[in-house]
Amino acid sequence: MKKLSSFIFGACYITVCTCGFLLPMQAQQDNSQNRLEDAIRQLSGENVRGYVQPFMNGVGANLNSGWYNTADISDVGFHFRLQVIGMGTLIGDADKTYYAVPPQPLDQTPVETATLFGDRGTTVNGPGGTTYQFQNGQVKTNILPAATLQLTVGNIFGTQAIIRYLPPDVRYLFSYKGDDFPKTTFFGIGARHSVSRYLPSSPIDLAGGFFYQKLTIGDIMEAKALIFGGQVSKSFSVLTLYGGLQYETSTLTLSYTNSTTNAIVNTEIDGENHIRATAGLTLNLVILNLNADVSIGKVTVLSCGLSFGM
Amino acid sequence: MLCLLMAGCDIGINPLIFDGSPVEASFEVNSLISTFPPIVYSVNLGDVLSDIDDEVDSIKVYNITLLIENLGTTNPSVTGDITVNGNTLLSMNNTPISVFVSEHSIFDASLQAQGFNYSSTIVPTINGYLKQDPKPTVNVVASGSAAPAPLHFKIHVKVYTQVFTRP
Repeated sequence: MKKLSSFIFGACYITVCTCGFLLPMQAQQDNSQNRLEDAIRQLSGENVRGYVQPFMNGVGANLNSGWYNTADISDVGFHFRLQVIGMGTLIGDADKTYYAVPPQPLDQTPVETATLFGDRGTTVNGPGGTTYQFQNGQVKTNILPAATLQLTVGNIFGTQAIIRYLPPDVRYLFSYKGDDFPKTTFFGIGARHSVSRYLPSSPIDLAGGFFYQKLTIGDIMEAKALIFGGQVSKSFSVLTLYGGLQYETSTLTLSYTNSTTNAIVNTEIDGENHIRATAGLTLNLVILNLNADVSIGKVTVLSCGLSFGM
Repeated sequence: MLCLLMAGCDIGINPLIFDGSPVEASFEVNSLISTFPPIVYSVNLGDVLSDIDDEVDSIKVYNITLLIENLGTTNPSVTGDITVNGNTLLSMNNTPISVFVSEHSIFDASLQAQGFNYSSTIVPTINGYLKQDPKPTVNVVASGSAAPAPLHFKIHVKVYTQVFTRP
């Protein structure tokens, strides 16, 4: 009964994460425009960084999550596992405001205003009765969710390959008019290698690996993420306790034309999460696995997965 | 579950703010003598919304700039004013056109030392025009004199706005 309730909870959580990932798409197509891109295009190169930084931290942390749920990699033998992974980065109050400089002719003193996750943009009064309001926040949430498919294949000399992919036209599944939603492409590839195979007497499983991912959203955004990490796990009957430490980077490249000045903005925004510790639990049910973990770093990420395979 | 989702993640609850397309009035002055007759330029304020498809709530001016291209060989100083439907936008009193060789906000306080002033009522006036539906066409008029002649320069007045959409 406990297993069943855990499974139901996990499945529901994945669905929520997945739907949460799709909801912004739906909202965007309803406006026949890309709300995120519209919001960004209003900002100068200096201010867009602060507006988007928390979003980038969340996207980068999400990309770098959920790529393992055990450190147990056998030396040889066929391994095939297809996984649906949901992940969500917690959004705190500090992620909802940033300091921005108003445009001329207003006073150039930085003012605190809303990020993409904030509320209303701050209004600044200028000379001659002029006013300027910074862009409003567009997403009100305490967690930035995402989801992906992952395929793990192996094992050759204790090594597995990991692939993440979403087809470009996946947007048509989530939109009445697919052309209204920007083309999104996503691909990731990595490998993990058993360290335990060199330590046969080790009471725990150890592994290490790397993972590279690339995500493009529409015409103006491209995110890249890279992970190097080590994992540890210990199985107890159908349960596996796992954890890990990883170094990660993520970069969002924005390229657009500012709607006021027509200036071409090319800027790179680095995700602020670089080191994370992860702890999680996997439930092994023959060909079905269910896992959930939490990662602590600059940001906190929750992740869960439902996988099938052997 | 849907309730949980909606409670946890509200998308687009705040209206988007766009920059309106800048609208511009241009006046080319070519005169062999120091005075030049009033030059009228009609500006359709509806052009502010030319790139915006969303439903508009309001439009507000946040900057007005002046640029003067010197097409001659001298550096004349201008005395005169520019009006919008008869309302004074700005006035110049022996202001060298070289001050505006690059686009310059008319609200820059340092311009007063050059004999330049803007009207404190012009922004509310233009904001008032921008509240009208349909957006009106306004007549922008430049008149005055400059020395030394002959006069060959082009005045560009540009209005920058923010467009507030409805949620």
